[in-house]
Amino acid sequence: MAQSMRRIRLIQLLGLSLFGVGLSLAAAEGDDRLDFKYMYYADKNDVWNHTPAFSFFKSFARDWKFQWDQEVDAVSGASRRLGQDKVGRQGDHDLTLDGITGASKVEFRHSEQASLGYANKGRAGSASFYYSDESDYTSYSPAVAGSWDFNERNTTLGGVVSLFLDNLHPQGAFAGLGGDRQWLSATLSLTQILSRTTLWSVTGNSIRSSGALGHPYNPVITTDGVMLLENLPRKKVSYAISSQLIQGFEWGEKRASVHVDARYYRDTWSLASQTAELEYYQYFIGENYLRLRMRYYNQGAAAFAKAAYQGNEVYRTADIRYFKFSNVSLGAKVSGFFPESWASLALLPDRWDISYDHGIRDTRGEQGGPEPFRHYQLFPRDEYYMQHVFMAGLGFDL
Amino acid sequence: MFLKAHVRKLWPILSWSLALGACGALLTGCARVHQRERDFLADPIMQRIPDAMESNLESHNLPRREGSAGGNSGTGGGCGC
Repeated sequence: MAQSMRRIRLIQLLGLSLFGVGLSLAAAEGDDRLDFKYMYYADKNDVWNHTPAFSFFKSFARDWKFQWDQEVDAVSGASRRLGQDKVGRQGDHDLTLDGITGASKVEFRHSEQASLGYANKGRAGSASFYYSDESDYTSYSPAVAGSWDFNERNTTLGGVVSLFLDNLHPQGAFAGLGGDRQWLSATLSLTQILSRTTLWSVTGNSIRSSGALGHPYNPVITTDGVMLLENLPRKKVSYAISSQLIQGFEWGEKRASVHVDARYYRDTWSLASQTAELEYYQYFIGENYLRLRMRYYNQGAAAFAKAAYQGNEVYRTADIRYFKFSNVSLGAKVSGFFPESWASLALLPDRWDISYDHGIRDTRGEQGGPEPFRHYQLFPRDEYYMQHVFMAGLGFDL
Repeated sequence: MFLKAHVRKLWPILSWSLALGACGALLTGCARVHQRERDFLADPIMQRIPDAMESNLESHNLPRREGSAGGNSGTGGGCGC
């Protein structure tokens, strides 16, 4: 019964997507655009994620632009469940609720975002509303953004404030263990042109979150083998600062650029992380370019994350996201335009891109041993596991 | 006392912010690239976010596996569980 309902739900979502695309095409004119993208993520932990998405852009009244984004998400490993891998009536393809955790093994999510923007003479502003829905989670988020160019338009100051009003409502064995959560996110960024081929920016962000910030799907198992619910503090304030330098240059007549990104994050749960990203873009034939990317991510553990719990701790978690780990990903992307003649034909793509990232994640704990989340589908003896992201997209100038 | 503890905790962020802010303030005053000289800067490979949709999808995917994701854009939400 539950499986049938989910299939009906998926069909409804796909129908809504197609309706949206049809509506977009019918309404398009001028330099309007429609982008499709499909993302597939998989890792050795048997978590996978299929995400088809589209974005539609429509300009009107010269200075105004409307944007509509939609995503449909199918994700497995929604609960990093207890037990052995691929065990059960249908193994990982089972859509029914997990009897132990109460979460579905495969979950569908869908999100919509509509935004209205205005830009004129170096001043821009936008307002947007985001909504997402899945079987145990809903999210509503209004946001406003603005930017101002000055210093003869060599400098841009921008800001975004968004509010998330979310609700977690687990079903099955953990029904009633959710609750409301709120996030208030504020971002300020400064972008500066340094030369005809150099751009630099710095971004600061703070997120204040409160309410039911955890979930019941990864119960902690104590040293005595007792299963206890995760318990996280009900407030968190996080701060992040990032900086980006973009340097362009030419190899003969071919343009290229290097993007260097660095980010530092810290929150009041004592979790700190560092991210470094290096991207190299190179045109090779016409407007086709190749992007090579390397991303390094390292995070420490939250203050209350422990390799072994006694059971008398106030806060406890077995969520992999709050433990120490590092990750290195390497990727390549090819992107470009179809021959010009294609663009004049209706409903044929004029832009395309395809990318693949491959990452290795080091899950060793502080003492080099496995962490409590070894119970959750992680192959017990693996200290490293692979993750892969494949993305493909088409763009249409309508 | 409470404030002092927070400032100490967040000192790495504050110091970086101050240093970068000072650099930004200095750079703001010296750079002048006229609009007709910005052909290279307008190239897609010179944009801060060359592919917004790809960036959105990634920023949605990362919170499922990292504890410090968020703050890159106005979209997100979700349990991440």
